Amino acid sequence: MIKVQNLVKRYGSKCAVDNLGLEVQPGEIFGLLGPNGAGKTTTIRMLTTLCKPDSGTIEIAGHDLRIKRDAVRRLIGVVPQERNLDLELTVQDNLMVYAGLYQLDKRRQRVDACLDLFGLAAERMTQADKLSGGMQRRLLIARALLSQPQILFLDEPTIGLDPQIRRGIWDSIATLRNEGVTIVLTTHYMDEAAVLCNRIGLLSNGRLRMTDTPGNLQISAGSFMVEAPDSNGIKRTLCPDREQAEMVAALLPGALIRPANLEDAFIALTGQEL
Amino acid sequence: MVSINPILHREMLLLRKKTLRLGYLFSTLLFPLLYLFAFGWGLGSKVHLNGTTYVNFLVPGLLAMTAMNNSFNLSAASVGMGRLFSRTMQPILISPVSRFSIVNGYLYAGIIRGMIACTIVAAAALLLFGSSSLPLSLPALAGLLLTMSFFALAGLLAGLLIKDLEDIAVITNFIIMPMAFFSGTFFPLDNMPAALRNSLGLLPLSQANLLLRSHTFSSGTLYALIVLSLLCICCYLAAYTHLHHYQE
Repeated sequence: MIKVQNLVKRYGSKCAVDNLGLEVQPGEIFGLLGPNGAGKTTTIRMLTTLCKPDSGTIEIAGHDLRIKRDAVRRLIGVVPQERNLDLELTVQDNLMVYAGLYQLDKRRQRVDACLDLFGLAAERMTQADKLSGGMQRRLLIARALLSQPQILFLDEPTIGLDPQIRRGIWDSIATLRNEGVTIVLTTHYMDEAAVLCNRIGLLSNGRLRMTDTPGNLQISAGSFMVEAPDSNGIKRTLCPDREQAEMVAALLPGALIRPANLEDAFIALTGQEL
Repeated sequence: MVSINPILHREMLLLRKKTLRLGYLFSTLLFPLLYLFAFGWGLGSKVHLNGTTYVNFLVPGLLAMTAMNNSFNLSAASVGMGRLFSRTMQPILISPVSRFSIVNGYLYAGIIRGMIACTIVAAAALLLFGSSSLPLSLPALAGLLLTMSFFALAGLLAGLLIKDLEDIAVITNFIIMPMAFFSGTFFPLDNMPAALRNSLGLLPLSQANLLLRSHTFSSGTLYALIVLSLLCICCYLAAYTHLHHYQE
């Protein structure tokens, strides 16, 4: 569905995306995981036609992005990191304007269906700036899905939301996966990536360090983490199995053993903290 | 079914919201109405210029200035703020709507806002000074429409080009406001030094003022119409090209 090869984007002397290559299969949720400044948002901006790569190719649903930008724009929906709603307009008007941009048929019916689907029907006449953060985020997702895109790009979809609302957004994303929508998701929340993504690409300093399933990434770095206090803070050691973890822990006073998580794997594989 | 241009639809929804706010209306119309009351009442019938009363000279100038400010501000603020601050421009840019539709939408929206503001100023002039103060000739109406078109497109271009929100204030303070004073809005350019007069005469608002004070078509009005039309075409093409190649 998405094929990216040798993608490079520079801003002055800084290389925001460095020779990135990836493939996303139809119906897959692909997560781009990395700390702030890793190049996630720049990658999404290039994939969504908002900025042009300095070199490299992007193919979306068979369309070369350099040539068929409008064809790609018809196929994609984008939920940006920032809440770029028209805050002075009502929920309904936000969606109606968007339906106009995509020249959709039966706009009223589509808007009504979207409002029902995302639990926003009761707020249709509410001004967008009066909505809670979680509802604004739901409205952004509803807006992106109004045109029934084949591919949905979600840039940090739950950033700044409380845990209960985050889980509600996760449920909505999981439902979309079940409906066959291909999703590219950027996040720096490990739990989010582990729960939602079929595959994850670890991005660090603009480079894609590794791509695999969440489970395999975790296993490749180690299954158990030994944490022990030392003079510099906490010393962490990843171990491939429990036996080795216990051996390491025996050498470190006050050491604790716990199952390794995706964050541990990310740090071990990229050398960077999230 | 004929559907409304989506950008125009959005801008009209936003404009409807804004016009309900007293502060917005006040800030938009304060200066033209202030000039109308102050200079119109203060000097209106006592001073004569170019064979007519000062108020008959002033009202067409104020209408041209109102058209310029309102058409420019609508598209410059909407596009500039939308790109750099609220980021509401991004959904438009990544939608499949054609770049021509985007340019047309801001053009129409700028014209409509200019018309609304000019209608209010014209209504005030009509009430205070009678219909003789209003420019109702064909060249004047054509000039008003071209003025709104040019400044709406110039505002779109400015909104696309600025790198910082303060740039809008810089353009307004260093280009738009001086142009309002040195394009024959409040006084004729005849008394200016010759070299300066010729340069100022080329400004788009000078052309607009010339048209708004014309009663019939002449070689001068035709020249002004051609200049404003060419400026509109240049701005339209520049805005389209910039949108087509736009990237962040």
